[in-house]
Amino acid sequence: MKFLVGYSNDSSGKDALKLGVALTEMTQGKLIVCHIVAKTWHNIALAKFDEDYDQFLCDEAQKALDDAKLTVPSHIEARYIARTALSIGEGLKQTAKELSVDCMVISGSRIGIKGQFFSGTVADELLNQLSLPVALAPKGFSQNQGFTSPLMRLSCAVSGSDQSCNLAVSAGEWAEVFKVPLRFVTFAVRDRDITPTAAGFDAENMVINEWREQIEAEYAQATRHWESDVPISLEIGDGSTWKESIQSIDWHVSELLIVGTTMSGIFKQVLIGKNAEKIIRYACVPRLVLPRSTD
Amino acid sequence: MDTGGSMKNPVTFSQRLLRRKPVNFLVQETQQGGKTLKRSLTLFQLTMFGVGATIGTGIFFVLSEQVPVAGPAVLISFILAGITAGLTALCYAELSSMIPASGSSYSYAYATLGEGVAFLVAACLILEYGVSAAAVAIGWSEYLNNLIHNVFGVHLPDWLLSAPVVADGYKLYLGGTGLINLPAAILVFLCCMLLMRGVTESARINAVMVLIKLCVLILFISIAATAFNAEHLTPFSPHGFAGISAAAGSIFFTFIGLDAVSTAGEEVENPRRNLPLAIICALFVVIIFYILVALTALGAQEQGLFKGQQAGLAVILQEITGSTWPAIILAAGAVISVFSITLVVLYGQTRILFAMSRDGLAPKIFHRVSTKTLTPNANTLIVAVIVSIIAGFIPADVLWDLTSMGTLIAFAVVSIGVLVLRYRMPDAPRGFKVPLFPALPILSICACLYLISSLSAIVYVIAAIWAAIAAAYYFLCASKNSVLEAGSEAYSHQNGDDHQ
Repeated sequence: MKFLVGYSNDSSGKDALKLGVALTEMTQGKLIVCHIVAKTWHNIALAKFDEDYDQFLCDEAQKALDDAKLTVPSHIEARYIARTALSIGEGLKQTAKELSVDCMVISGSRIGIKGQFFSGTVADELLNQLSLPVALAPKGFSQNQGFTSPLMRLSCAVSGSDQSCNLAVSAGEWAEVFKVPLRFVTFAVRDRDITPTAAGFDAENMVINEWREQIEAEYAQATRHWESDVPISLEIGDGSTWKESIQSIDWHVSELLIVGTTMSGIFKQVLIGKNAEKIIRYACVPRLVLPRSTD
Repeated sequence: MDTGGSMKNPVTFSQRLLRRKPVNFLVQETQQGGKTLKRSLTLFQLTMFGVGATIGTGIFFVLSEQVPVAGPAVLISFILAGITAGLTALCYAELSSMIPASGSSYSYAYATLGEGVAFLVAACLILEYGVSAAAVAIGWSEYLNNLIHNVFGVHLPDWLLSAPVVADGYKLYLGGTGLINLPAAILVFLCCMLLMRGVTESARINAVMVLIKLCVLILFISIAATAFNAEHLTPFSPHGFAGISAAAGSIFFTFIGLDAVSTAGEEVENPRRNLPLAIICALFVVIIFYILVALTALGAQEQGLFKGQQAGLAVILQEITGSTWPAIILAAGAVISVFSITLVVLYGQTRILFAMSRDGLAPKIFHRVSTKTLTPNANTLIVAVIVSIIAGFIPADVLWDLTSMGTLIAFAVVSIGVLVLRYRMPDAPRGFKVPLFPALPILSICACLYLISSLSAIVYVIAAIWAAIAAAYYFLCASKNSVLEAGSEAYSHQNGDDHQ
């Protein structure tokens, strides 16, 4: 597999690089570390007043890539490239297309809480316009949040909808690549009752408990049609908020969470839904966002 | 008589009617992931819940219907209806305190009085909630029209604002001035969409709307009080006690929501003290609000002008001030807050049907939960379609009376249940016991029956048709699909001789 890391010479860039290295090692794939430099005006400005600044950016990009080289173990087959583009997202997309990469690895906003993923401008642009799997490194992954051992398990967030079946199949293929068991996870967020009515104070618990039963029944039915050799299991998170619900189930230190997309389209783009956004933000492990496969 | 069942375990007709849902099933259904969530509501919080859930239902529209019936003595009708609601709420509180879980009066009746009574209570609740949602939506359309007129200077066409059906004696027939009450039907669908999005959003919006509702009523009281003329209150009771009791029966629906306080048995601190106190305090606050609104409205406007008045409170303010802005504020407040009332009532309706469906007493589609929003979308949509048809085509006065009928029957059954259970299960633990037993439950039953007797003739016809449909559905379908039927051996084992 070929991984493209969107690298910047700061803590979030290092998070993405650490995850990219880990994934490349696990799959014995190839790594491309790409630093995108802002496009200057020198091509159109007659005075070429931006040339110095352009040179400065190129030097900085080279320094950043030199730093990255120090982090990547020597046994990994890696390429280091710097590109200019109008935006980082545009540059990464173009590079991914040209080099036919299989997965992109990026990090989120520098602002945020350790372990969580706050989508920044680049992540937003990529997640909403890309047709590639995107691995998301949580904040602080390069420090004490990184994988401490080979991947132990792959989790896949499903909603139980019809679209979840395609995602489950894709997740099974990824689990085969990583040679790890697959766990399906889904999350119940218990709403506050709208107001006391004759339906009682806990009417919403009744609804969620029914949903849990529905999910378990659908999972039992789905396992009968599961064709992959990858061992599977189901776990349901439960809480009053997304954060509480996601953290209510156990997570391995070396685990990857697969999140699907919510909308299909002829361009098979990644389009993040409201629930997927919450899961991506609060998940306790790195996330892998898969675009919807064409049926 | 044996009505069927499996060959191995035949279930008799009387067993079906009397079988009770095991309490542990009720507890499991409402627990959060295997753990019980304790809310520990204080007396103040519970009182405010009660006020928020009760106040507003109908006060915006009821005067134009009931002042012509009772005259200024409608004030006494409010007190009569309020006292009846209070008595039944206390009985309801005892029933709910026998079950260590939060639920509806349907689920409490199922666990204590048996499937037959529970189904009857549920049928009444469906009538109460479904019809009152439609009735409230019709009142909303009046205020919307008033608001549009005051802001833009145009009226919505009459054929879009009233039902084509009219009531006369025992009959409903086509002959109204309108084609459909379109705003009312649209409101029901707007609420449906909000409920389908997820309840957290709805709960937040609802809390704001309750505040708006209270502010609007305070605004009305403050302005209308400045134009108070005591001469408008005479004659005080032009139609005597018959008028007062007839109005009290119809007004009873304005106290829907008070019963919700009674479901808080497991959630409240020191329920033996706080539950009755919260019911009484909430009732007191609501009655005071209603009486102040009615009194100031009656003092500000001659009683003859109430008849047929649409968006009455807004019109009164406009007459008093000679300016449109107070009417605009009041109409806008009413449009927003009545939206919340419709939302809450529709919510209650869907959750009661959900509970019934889980028990096998309503079609399965009612407990199908959407995986996307974690809400029962199909249930909500079906309820919205039916309620919007009622709101669009049936006149409001019939609906108010039907709502009262459903509520009063359900409450009377609960009060009878309290009496029965005191004799049948005297030692069962109760978090709260009705004081002055057996006088209070008997008084509650009598008050309910008295108010039922004052309702209009057409309501009896519709209620009888509804009862016949419900009974047919129960005997032909629901009783055989009941989860207690499917697992009768397991349930018999758990309940032992409780079935008898």
